Amino acid sequence: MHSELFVLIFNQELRFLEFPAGASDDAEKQGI
Amino acid sequence: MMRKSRAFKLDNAAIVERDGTGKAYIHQYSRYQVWEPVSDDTFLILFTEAIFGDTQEDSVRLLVEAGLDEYFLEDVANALLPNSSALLIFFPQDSLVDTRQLLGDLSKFKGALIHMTFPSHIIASVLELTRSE
Repeated sequence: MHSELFVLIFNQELRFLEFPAGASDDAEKQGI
Repeated sequence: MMRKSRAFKLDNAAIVERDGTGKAYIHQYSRYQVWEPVSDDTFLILFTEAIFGDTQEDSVRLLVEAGLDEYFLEDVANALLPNSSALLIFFPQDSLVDTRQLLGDLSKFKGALIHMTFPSHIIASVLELTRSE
């Protein structure tokens, strides 16, 4: 058993981040 | 058998923004609350503040003493350049989140993705060292 950590680093400020198409089908259905 | 989910709580996540001067700002949903001595988000907060916070050296030493690789931690810290940001998501070992699907989702973002796994004894060591500080 182990714990997991994901670190996602963007070369831009977070407010300019675009949500990629297909990143989550559930999120897209909910309009997120 | 319990089905794994793709959903996770805000407690599992932290956001770091580094401004043009190099100063890092850490945002975490529960960091302003009083924590339990060992809660799910304690390790995430400790790790994030050690790597990206103002008191880096002492805090990183604590992680190294617990068994994490110093050079790897340095690489992670240095990856966050000025005018950039980071999203950290931590899942304790008993989490029901399907991290394989999440890995696929996160890889679609335009960013550098680092995935770390921690054996339970490393987490226990970090939390134990924190208590004895």
